[in-house]
Amino acid sequence: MTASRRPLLFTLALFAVFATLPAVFALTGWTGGMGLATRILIYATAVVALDLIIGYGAMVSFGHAMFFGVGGYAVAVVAHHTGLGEMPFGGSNAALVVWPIAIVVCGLLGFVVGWLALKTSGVQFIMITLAFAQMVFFLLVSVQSWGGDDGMMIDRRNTLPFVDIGRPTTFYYVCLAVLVMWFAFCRMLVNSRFGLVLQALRQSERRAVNLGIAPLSFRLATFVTSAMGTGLAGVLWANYARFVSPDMAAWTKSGEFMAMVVLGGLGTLVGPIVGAAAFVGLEEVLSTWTQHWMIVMGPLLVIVALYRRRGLVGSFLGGDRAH
Amino acid sequence: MRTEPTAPPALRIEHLRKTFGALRATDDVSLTIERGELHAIIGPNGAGKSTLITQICGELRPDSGHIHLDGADVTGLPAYQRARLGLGRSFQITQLCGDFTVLENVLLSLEAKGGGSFDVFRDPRRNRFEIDVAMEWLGTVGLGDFAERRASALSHGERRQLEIAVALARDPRVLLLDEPMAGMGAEESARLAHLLADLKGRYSILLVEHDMDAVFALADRISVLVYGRVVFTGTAAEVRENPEVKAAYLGDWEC
Repeated sequence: MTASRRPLLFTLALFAVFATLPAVFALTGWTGGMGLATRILIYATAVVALDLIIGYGAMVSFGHAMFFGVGGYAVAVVAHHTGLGEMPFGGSNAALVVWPIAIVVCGLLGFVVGWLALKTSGVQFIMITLAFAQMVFFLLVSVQSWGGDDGMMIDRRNTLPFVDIGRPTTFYYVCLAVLVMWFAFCRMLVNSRFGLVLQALRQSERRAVNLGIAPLSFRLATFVTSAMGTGLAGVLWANYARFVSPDMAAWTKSGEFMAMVVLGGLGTLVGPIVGAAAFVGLEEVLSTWTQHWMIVMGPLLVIVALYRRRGLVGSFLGGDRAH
Repeated sequence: MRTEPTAPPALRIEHLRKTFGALRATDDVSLTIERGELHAIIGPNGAGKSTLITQICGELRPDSGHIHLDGADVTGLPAYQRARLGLGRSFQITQLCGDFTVLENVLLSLEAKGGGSFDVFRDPRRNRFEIDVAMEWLGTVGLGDFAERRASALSHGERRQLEIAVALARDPRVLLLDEPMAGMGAEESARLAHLLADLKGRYSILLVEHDMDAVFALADRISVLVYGRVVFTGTAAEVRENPEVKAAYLGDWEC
């Protein structure tokens, strides 16, 4: 109620900056900027989802890239089989058909993985999510009709009514709109009646159980929600790159997501967006100097983890509350 | 405040047993808490008081025996279902949500009463009705001015008071208080004793407490637990006079 307005203002300012970026790129003539900014928005969507379960639910998923990959593959696979005329009802290239399918598939996968993983906690939870992600990865590698190791090309982006997301600027704004809506939903969720219970389970499961809470259903619902959000990011990525490959679901990708969350500020929702921007931006800058850009990124992550426990923006946002 | 004898007792424990290896932590314990009764359990350290509490609230399964809440057998039910049926408790070592404000801790209690909500749209911090209920209980336990303070910033005594508010806000049918005065200062203890005296008769309370002055002043009946066994149950006066109890250990406590 009297919670600081700072996080909200910071978030609005951040989104305002994102909204003006295309104009900045147009003025400065930086052609690579658009792609970079789009990638940041897509990763930001994924890591906000990851922060939901790690920062608010204390469920450390080390396999979240599987949902990113499956979301992306759903787009590619539907496009592939629609092109071959093998889809029921003639298939579709409409985003309003394909994207919900992809999200539902990720939700179902999230349900199975979450249900099994939540039978454990701590390190075992991490291992089970990682194991499932590896299974998805090797499944994608081995299905030759979906390109195997090489992945799949996508001929053209999905279509939305009224807007042409084939244009980079339009697509950028669609990604921004998705991020804003997803962020707003997550923020509402953590502050809701549901979120109160979820956060109570993180702080004192014993207390919550003795008040009448059955932990599994709340955690599983959050895990599935997070899986769907990450899947949505995968959908956007497939449309952005018009290419999917098993690397989208690799465990290194899960690690990158986690690094972005920690870099930006665990349990803040807005922090991970900054984390994604910092990570992707630094990767872009550093990789022009050397392909071993992790030599610089690694120590940076160590420094942030050691000296800014609440991430790049956590302490700036004020309060000790996860908000 | 005893009700008509036909009504089942608020809590009835029958022949409860729990062993850990060779240790009989709970050895054929039977006791009842009538409606509106304040029933205290006393006993030296290691008597099995905490083990008994954890079995009543469902965190620990007894080896044998039965637990009835308001006449219904809850022995096989998990802790969260017993909580929903109206079993409220405070913890010996406070279990609070440290990142939440004091008010949010009590709101959680109200929200969790029905098992928690999957409503992702409404903010419980804007629920006028629940806030009013929560604030009233915070006022009752003496935390009215601290509603917006983070629970982790409270003093030890204040955390204990919050424990009580969290347990009471949901209007429990049976209230288990596990050493609510442990580690409290004299002034805080006195205030809590006053509060318990106030609640007495309106709630069915099982009180585990080391503060003998409080127990003898408050309890309708007292059960004495020694090595997992109830050696005597009676009123304060009866317990004081009982030679068996005296011999067992009351002398040590200079009562």
